[in-house]
Amino acid sequence: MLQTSSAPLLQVEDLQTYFFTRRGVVKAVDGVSFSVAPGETLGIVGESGSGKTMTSLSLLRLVPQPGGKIVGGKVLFEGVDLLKLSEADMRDYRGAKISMILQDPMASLNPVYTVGEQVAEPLRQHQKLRGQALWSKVIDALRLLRIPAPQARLRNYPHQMSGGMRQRVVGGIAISCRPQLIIADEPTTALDATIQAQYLALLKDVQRQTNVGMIFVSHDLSVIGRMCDRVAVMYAGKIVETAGVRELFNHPKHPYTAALLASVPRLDQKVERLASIEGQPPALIDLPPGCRFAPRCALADERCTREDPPRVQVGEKHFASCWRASE
Amino acid sequence: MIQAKQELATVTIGAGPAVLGQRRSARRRHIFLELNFVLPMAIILLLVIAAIFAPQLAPWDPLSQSLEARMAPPVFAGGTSAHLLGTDRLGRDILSRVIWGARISLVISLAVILITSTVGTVLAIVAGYVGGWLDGLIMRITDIFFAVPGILLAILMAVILGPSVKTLIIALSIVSWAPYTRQIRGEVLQVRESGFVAQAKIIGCSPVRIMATHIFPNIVNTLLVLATLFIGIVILAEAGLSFLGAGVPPPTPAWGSMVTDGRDYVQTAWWISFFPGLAIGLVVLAFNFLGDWLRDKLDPRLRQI
Repeated sequence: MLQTSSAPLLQVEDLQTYFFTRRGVVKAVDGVSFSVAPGETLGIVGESGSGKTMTSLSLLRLVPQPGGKIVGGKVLFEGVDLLKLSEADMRDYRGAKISMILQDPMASLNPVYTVGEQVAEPLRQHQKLRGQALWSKVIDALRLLRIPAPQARLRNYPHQMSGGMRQRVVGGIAISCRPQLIIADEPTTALDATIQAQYLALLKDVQRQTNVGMIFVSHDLSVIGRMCDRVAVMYAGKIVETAGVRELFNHPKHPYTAALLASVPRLDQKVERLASIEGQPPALIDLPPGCRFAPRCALADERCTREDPPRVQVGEKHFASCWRASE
Repeated sequence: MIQAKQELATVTIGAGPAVLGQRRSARRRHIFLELNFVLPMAIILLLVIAAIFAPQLAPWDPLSQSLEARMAPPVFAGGTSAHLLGTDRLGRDILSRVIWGARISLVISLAVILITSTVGTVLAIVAGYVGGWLDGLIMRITDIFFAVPGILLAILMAVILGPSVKTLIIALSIVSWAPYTRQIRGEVLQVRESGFVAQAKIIGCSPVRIMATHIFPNIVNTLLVLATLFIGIVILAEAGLSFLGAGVPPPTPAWGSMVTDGRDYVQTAWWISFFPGLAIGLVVLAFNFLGDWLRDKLDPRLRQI
């Protein structure tokens, strides 16, 4: 299932996305680096406001305007630095080579067009398809997302479909041009648990059939555990730990990762009270020096609040940004 | 208790689509029973027919004068059947002039609506979607046009350019595009933030494409309502300008100038002013009612206008 070749599909180096507000500079993404191989799924996990969504929007250069700006780093997609492209060239990547699935299936579809039209739009734009060739590809995409009776469904408007079906249509739009990379930003938060499980299985299946690379953004560790090959844990705009999914779940090296995993309820253990992480993540304006997790970290010492921790290798393909990771 | 509740729930769920279906078909059946749709529609239909078939419908040439038949009263007030609605002080047939006047009114108001709604909508979508300094610039210009008294500006233009149908269309267009821009920009600001616009960006749509194919269809209801309401206002403004002598130059039959013609004879020959005045009133009322009806049908959120 994993066809990881040596050359990464996407390589992000030291990405920085800042928001310039009246109260100061918000460092939403602050020096993030990771890579995704073809056919691989990278999970990005973190709490609200940790910069997951801003990271994924930065990859497509769709940071909210005005205020947001990518101030540094590289986004190498098949060796091309996307941050150096013109806006028009960048548009040729969006939806064609890199797709994104948004959170809310109710809002992502335009109420005035049929779903067929909406799945057809990227094909029309990027592959210049018309007529029979276009519609057969649209039906292919809907069939790939297992939408029953796709031929009839083409003529439906979004309000005539259920939430789960609509989210499948959104998936169909993302896959229609057969991109090499799909960024899924919490694609199932708006769906109920049963539909969520179905949809995740479906995405996995689509990935198996098309060998598409995937970045899966979520705050839900159980979903990350099911979907991903590798995981990057984000905290306050930085990636604090990356590892293979099993390695991360079994041997977390960063205290934040460990605390996150400890706060997941488990069916096989009886606990009186769930563990929680005391305190709040820091405001991203005027950050103090040192490790960002230090104020909430049980293991923090004086050095942690003074100096940024280095990124250290703690295992095979396992990195953690912590002074005490190697202990 | 719980069981009863569950039963209730299943009953409601089961009945849901059927009830909806019934309500929808009921609404469809009632559309021709709704008086505030049927009456305005009838008047507007009459107006359109009069405008298109004026040469066939009018019993007389609207410009032909007749000294023997001058100031003839309408047929029901002691006149002859030759002039059903009487004649004016030059002996011109009022009915024929009202029919031809419909053509002038409709041509001018449609031209003005076409120009203002296009300009207003384009400016609104650009201002609302692009934002930033361009938004500020467009909206300040809009504010200026809100502050200028329209009728005065139109009179000024008519005086400078000389009264003609073309001048009237230009003048009325200049003074009436601003409300479209202000109203529709508000809608665009809302639509811009919706998920499907984000989705359109994700699949690589250009800003122009997003504005034309994703934002415009979602504000078209508002545009339709505004345009319908404004036809009435434009017809009234055109009549007002013609009444003041800054509109369509005589002897072309325009309703406003016909009212002026009869101004001095209201006590002796009321029909000269009354029938064109009635036409203005009915048509303006009809468009206002139709606009209200459309607004209620298409977008309940707009009720406060």
